[in-house]
Amino acid sequence: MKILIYEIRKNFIKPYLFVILCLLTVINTVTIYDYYKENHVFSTEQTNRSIAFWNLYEGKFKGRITNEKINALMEIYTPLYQLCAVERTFSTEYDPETYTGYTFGDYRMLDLGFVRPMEYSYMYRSQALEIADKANENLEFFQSAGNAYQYRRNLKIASLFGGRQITDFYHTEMYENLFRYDFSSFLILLMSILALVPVFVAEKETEMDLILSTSKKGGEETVNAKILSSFLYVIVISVWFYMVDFLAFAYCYGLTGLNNQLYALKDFMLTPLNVKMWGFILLSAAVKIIGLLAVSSIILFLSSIFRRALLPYILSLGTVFLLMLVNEFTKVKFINPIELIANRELFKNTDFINILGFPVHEFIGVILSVMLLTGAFVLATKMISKKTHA
Amino acid sequence: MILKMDAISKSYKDKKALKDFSATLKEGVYGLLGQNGAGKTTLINVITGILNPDGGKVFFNDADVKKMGVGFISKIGYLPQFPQFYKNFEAIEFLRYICAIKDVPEKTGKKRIEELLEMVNLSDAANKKIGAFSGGMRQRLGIAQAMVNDPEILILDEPTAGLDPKERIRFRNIISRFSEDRIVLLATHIVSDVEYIANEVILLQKGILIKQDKPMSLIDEMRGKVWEVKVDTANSQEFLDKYSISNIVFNEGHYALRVVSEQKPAEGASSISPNLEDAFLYHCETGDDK
Repeated sequence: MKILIYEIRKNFIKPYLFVILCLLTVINTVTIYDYYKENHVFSTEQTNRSIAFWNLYEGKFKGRITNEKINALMEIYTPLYQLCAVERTFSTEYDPETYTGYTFGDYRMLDLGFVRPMEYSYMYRSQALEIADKANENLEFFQSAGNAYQYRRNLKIASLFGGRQITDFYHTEMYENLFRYDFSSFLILLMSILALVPVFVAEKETEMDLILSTSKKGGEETVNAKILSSFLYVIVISVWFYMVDFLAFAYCYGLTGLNNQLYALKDFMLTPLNVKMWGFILLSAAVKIIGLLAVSSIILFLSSIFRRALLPYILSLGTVFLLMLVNEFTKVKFINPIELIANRELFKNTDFINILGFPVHEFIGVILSVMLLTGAFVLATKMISKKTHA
Repeated sequence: MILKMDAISKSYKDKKALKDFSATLKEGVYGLLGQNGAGKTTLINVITGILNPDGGKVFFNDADVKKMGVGFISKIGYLPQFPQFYKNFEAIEFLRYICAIKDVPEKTGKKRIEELLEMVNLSDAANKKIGAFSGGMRQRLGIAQAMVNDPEILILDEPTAGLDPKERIRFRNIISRFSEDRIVLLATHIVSDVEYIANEVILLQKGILIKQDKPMSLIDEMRGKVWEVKVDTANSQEFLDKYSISNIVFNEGHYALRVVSEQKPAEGASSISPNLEDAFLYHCETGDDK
């Protein structure tokens, strides 16, 4: 424990790291605000449209979807739809009697903010049931065909989608954008490179490796403490940045519907996860951290094999960009930590991999493969350090 | 207490850094003398276990140190040649860290740190960041860290580099006091570091043990082999080319050369009292290319 604390003190309690953390936090917050300016439908700013939306949302339609709410919505929406979408005879003059100041504005606000999402929520149950029914129909066929894997796969799909329904209506803009936002992960990677490259290299540059080699706890215990403290550092800065993301997005887009189901987002219609929004926020952050730890293990490995810092810095940056390119331009999901760091694609669809005839969720396979990669690099780092100390 | 090196060999690619080096050390101060590249640091790295020898073994009290493992490491205090330490650590914090990695109990460590800071004259700088230390202060801190676990074997590689004359004297006194019941191996190419305090001197050249003896014996061996020759400027170069010169003083228009030679180098040469530097020059240079 003492060694671990000293390793944290030695490598991560540095004024320049704190200054960079503050600077990147400001950059991240400004970037989120810029992103929000470019990507929002109903802002929390005081515009006519947003005020009208939030008044209606908070006052009338938020929460449990009931027939009364649907009727009330359709009562306002149907005449506007008739005017704006069918007859196209709406007035373009300012009208103080409308919610937004304009007839077409009211129509768009109701259409985008309430009718379409509520319709999706209302219809989701039948769509999910359809998937479950098809899977149930397949069961008999695959059983008779003796295809045990497909039988088990369809059984899983049927059980996953069978009970799904969206009973509540919540505005989801914040979540849609939060789950698309990756810049903070990039900043965490930069901070990881900056802090982790010196972890082993600095000992060699200062000749402290010689003193460690001739100290009782300077070998394996110190190496373990270095790896553990590095992982703790990555976890702490990740939690910090993801918290900042959450708070900034909540502030910009408005925080509502944390208890809503993840599949209430159209993008996650076919998600393999039956979790609520808050659950996915935590799960997504945890999966991102697993990916970040894998990249960290590569950086630590590079740090352990070189005697000077320049090359590991260049190679670490190169590795990160290479992994990003592979993620962007190939369909290889396994082993690439970036797949976990930008994980929305991983959780959008329900895909399985066949492991010894058993269907395992693809995301579990990807997570395990990346964890395996982390383990391999940690082991390699330990072996290199042991060799250096021999 | 016996530290025995038995036929140690070590090569780096084609270069042989140590060739069949054998020596036995008992309690006392040992000066490991040799020119730069003679193999001093390699020998130290083999003793401390940082390097594995290509051949030979190191024994401590008849036990193979490789087999002793951590048991042997716990008995060592070591100061490497060019340590920088952690610039963001305060001196006292750094010594506490060394206590932690050397598994020194907290209470013992606290007392020991206080004593050592006092001993190396760093008490006033205990809470100063190492990054703000001068070379001499860092070296003194290095000496303190090597002694923090009260080691039975203290190995110091060029410990006086960066120390001013007063600090050197202080260092010698510390080592002399510390060496009681302990083995101190002091590698240096500065002969005066070991002349006064070493019980024995080990002369190393190109990885080969040239001589291991008491300083006085080495000096005695040199009697009749050290000369003073007075030459003018025109003739000085001839002597410099031909003989090993341990000192040159320019005085009243001529050079007084201190020549190390078996034979009287010139008609007017007078035999003078030798010192350890002459012995070092005689064994490590005369035997080499002069």
